Amino acid sequence: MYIRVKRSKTTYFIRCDPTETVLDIKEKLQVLIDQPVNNQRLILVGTGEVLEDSKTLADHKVENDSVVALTLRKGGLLNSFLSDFYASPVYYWVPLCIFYVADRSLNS
Amino acid sequence: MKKEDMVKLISAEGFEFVIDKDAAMVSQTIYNMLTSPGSFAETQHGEVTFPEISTTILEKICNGKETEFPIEPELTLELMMAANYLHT
Amino acid sequence: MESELVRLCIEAACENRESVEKWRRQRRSLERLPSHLADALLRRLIHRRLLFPSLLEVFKHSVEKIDLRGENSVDAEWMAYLGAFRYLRSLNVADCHKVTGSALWPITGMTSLKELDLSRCMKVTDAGIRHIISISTLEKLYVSETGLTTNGVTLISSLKNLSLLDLGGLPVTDQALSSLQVLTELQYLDIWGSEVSNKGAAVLRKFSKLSFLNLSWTNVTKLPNLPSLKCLHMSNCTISSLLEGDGGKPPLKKLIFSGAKFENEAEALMHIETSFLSFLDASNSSIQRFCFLPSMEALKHLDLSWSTMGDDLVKHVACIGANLRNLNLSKTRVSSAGVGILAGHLPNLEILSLSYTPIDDVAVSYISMMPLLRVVDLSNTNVKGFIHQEGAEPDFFLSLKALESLNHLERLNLEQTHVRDAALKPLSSFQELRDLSLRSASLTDVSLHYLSSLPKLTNLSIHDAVLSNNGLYLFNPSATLKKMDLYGCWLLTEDAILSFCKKYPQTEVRHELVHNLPSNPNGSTSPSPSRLTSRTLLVNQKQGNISISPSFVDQRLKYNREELLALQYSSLSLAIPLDRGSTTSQLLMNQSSSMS
Repeated sequence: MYIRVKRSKTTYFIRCDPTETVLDIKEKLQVLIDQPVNNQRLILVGTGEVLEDSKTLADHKVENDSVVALTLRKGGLLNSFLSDFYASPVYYWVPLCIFYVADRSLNS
Repeated sequence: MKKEDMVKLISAEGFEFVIDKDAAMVSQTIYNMLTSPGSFAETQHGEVTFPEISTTILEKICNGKETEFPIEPELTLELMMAANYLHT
Repeated sequence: MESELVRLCIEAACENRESVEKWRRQRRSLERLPSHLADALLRRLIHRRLLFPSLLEVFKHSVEKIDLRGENSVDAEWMAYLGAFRYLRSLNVADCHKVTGSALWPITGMTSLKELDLSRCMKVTDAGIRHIISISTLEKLYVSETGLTTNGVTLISSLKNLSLLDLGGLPVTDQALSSLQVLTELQYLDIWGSEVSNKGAAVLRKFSKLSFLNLSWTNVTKLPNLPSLKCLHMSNCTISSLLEGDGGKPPLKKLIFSGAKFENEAEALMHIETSFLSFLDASNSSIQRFCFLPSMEALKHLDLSWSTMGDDLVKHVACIGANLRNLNLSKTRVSSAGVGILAGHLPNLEILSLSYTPIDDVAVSYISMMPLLRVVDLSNTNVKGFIHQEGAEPDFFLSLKALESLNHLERLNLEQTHVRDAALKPLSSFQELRDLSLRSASLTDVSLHYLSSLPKLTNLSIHDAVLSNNGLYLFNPSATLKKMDLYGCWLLTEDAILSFCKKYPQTEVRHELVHNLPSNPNGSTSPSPSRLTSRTLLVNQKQGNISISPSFVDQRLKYNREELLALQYSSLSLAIPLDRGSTTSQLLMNQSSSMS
């Protein structure tokens, strides 16, 4: 099967198998977009569910022709307290720079 | 999976579709664009722009290479022409 | 060829009237539509019966070719829209009976039209032809069996670009033909059934490019030499000489003189160049000696059906057998001995018909020596399917087994032969068999059982057999089966047939009781008291894998007509022990015919 991974104006048609993990998909994306897996976040469009690295596509009920949104974080400095927010059903992240700035100021 | 195994197809509105080269080359037109030596600069980077094909239609075409999908009657003419142009 | 995606799009566009409405206002797309796509879309609309005159309008900038053959609704209104098709190259309205002479007015002066087919538009008269002659671009014109008179035919002489002219069945006289001699581009001329005589035939010399000529059903007996001729039809003519005269010999490829009479066949055919001749149809002709055949070494297709060909003359066919692909000997006197003479001389033969000949099972083993055979017609012969061997054990062998060696055998016709169930057993191992035709009142469920194992069976026709509901239920055909014709299998009930249809939806079943199946998908609504009984009976049967007694004999021998009719609503069991009885098929034939 394949899934469509969308980020802004780009759609990646990724060939995959239901038994593959979300991490496997992220590794494939890493090759294409030059972003480490840690910076990637995948959200199943339709349910808004954030896909967990350790789970398989089948676990998340990601089927053939599913559309998955890809978001990236800059610099990898996000704190864990934000993850609740990320887990909420938002297809496209609210401008990350705001959190990025907030993140920086909290750390400093 | 390697970056070289994928190609980028760009719609009239500038939306990009990154797809397996093998799947894309089912289209005779894309095959010719990507294989004829030195014809298009963009083919060097595995990119092909289709100024005549809208995003909706291009996505359907990319889709069609992988799976079956319903065709809305209002899209039939445009999709037919794009499929014809791409020899796919 | 259209791609799969294009095909799917056309399919989706022609789903129903609503889908048509979704795209018919997309004017810009419609104008940009490449002609071959527009043609294909239009073709599909016609096929789906979704085309109406005003919808034609959207295609006027794109369509180049339109085929409306046989569409009864096509009338003056349609023609009015078609007249506006700027790029139309080819228009076919053959058999459109509402197309009249005046309906052709809108296509007057079309500038791109090259091909126009008005065949059998009976209401197109000389007045209509006056509109047509304004289309100077026309290269191909078909007006056979229209209302044209000799005068109308004469008018056609102004269409100087014509390369093809079909005037079949029109009253073309020698004089009218003479007026057409200005059409020097003509390559194809059909004047079958015309009034043309030898005098007119002499004019044909003027058409220096003529490669196809049909003079069937005319009074022409002497055809002058036509150096470009490749294909000649002179069916039902009396032929005294062909292609005699000066100039190079024409490279004739195809010669059809079925039903023709010859005063002296050797003389009539002596001027023919035979080295290119690949197709000869001499069926039903008066040819007696066939002594011209040995020179026709390039023949691939030879039709001698209904001729005087027999065992004594068949050696003439054998000596040119090397290239033959298709040989039709049906309704001749050729017997098994004759087939024996041919065997071994037909290494490339693919199609053989021996129907209505006096051959018997001996011929079958000779046929098996023609290794490339794909199609074999043995219908209406004395073939029984087995040969007795005196003193041997067993005292017979199954003759059809010989055909097993034909690795390409796709189609076999055994209708109206003497084969019975047991004789068909060898068929079960025919790996390539796609088409099988059987018709006999002595075939039963056992035959059907043998055919279950044919892996490529696509069309099966079993007429007039005594198939029972249970036999049909147990029949487990290959998934390739597309059509099953069971006409005359009178013991089958509607319920049984419908449940078979449900079980094998890919198979189209034909039978007297099957009417309009698609509209009645839930099966019969008529009262069916049999349902419960037959179900119960079926449950009691071991499904599939049923053992068939080797002494299985026609079920009908056991029952009289009333009992059989009663059985129609139950189910015949294959396991019923049967006695070998004397044949009462004559009686049974009477029964089945009185029932229909």
